[in-house]
Amino acid sequence: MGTRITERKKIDVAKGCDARPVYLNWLGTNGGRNYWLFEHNQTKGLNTSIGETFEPYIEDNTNATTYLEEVTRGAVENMTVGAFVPVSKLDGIKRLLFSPHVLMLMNPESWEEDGPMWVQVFPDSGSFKLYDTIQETAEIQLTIRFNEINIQSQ
Amino acid sequence: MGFNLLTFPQLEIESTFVSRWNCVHHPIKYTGQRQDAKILNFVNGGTATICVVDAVPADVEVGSIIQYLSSDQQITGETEVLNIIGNNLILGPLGVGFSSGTLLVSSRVGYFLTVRIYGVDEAYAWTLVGEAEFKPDTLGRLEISINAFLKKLVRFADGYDYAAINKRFNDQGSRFTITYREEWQGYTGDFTEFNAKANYFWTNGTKQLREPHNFNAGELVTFPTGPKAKFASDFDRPTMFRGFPFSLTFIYSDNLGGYAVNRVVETFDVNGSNIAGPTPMVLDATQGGGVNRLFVDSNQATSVDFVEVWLEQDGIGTEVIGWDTGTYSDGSYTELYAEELPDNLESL
Repeated sequence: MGTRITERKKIDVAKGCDARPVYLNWLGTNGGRNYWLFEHNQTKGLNTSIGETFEPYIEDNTNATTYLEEVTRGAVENMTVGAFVPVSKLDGIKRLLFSPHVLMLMNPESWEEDGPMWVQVFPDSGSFKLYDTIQETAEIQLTIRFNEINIQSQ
Repeated sequence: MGFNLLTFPQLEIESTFVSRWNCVHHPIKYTGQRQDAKILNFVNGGTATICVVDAVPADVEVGSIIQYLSSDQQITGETEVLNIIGNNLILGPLGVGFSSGTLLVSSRVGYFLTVRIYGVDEAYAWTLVGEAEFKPDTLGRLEISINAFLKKLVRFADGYDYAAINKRFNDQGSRFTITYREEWQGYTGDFTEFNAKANYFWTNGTKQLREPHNFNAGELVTFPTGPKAKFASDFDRPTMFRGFPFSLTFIYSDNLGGYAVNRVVETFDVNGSNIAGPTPMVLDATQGGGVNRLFVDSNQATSVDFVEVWLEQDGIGTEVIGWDTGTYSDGSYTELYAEELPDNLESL
């Protein structure tokens, strides 16, 4: 055997997810990439917004379909994930809340054949209560927003 | 004549172990001293002062105004040259003396350095990242901070395929170097020689208040002996999830040039007893000289509760002994001392 040149990093091995996995990959402040699997249940949500509207000129009222037209709309999906973990793990997981680059794995079933497909997501900002230091395990809940949906405009 | 770099973006993190890896989101600095001539001796002769220089600059004549600065920066002043005999400048009675220092020629007005900053592109080939002008203070002292230019090379991206055992990503950290030339009113010098084997590096990381080693990435830097590098992780003890992609991030430094490096994995059950390993697997040494991702297989047997992962060097190879980071002045640059330059560094 050779000469050890790094720390001996212990890595826990957890069972994979049976259903509904949300696997996040984020950039840490020291330049490394980090991972966590949120599983079991997530709450999906949607925010929409209306763009400008205008009133078209009505030439033929009998055959007209509308008095109001929308230029476009906006839509952003979000997802709230949660986990119940030891607080030592929470100290790592919380760091995704302020990472400027968080990715979600889109193909958990096929990444080993096709290569992992990541999509960037955006954790909501805000004030978080993480845990009381006297606890040994704690629950974390966070909401991630997805990229805006591309919607036509006229 | 020239400009001498005095300090470099490196830090001794442990006696004799120097880390040349800098976090690009913090200042990356060189400091130097403008030195139009080297003062070998400044002799207080009572009624006159004799300033012995290594060579009299071409623009110093009888009647020229010169500025002198002792090496310890304690003695400085400006005076007229009364006479020149060989390499001795005869000055008026100044009442001070010192044994080494710097001479500045006051007629060189508007002195500044143009610095070119080089990084590497995706193909690890040198590329000019930026050019900037830096002006020294009135005593010719200069601080060059270049991280703003190197930051342009950072990408927030995960391009890893989670298949190769290790892979370098140049947009997460790689090497840099500078060249510079002196300029003053009426004169433009030549750029210093470009050193393609430069050994300063930047990383896409930050340091927090009170962390050791200032803004140097020191704790993450691998050495073949001595300090044990940490992996760059947000977790003291990360978790792998069976069936999901996992990697560790580490600095595969040029200190390991010529060594074969192995990833070693040992698996343990829930009682902490060894199940398998330590199993070594050799890393791809062509990925050295940068920030690397390391593959760790999350598909462990159900009996495995945790694994331990570390890197080892097996001692084979020719060691690069070191770099001379002494003074530079126009033309000559760093000298590499090595018994033999290992193949993989040569191709970097």
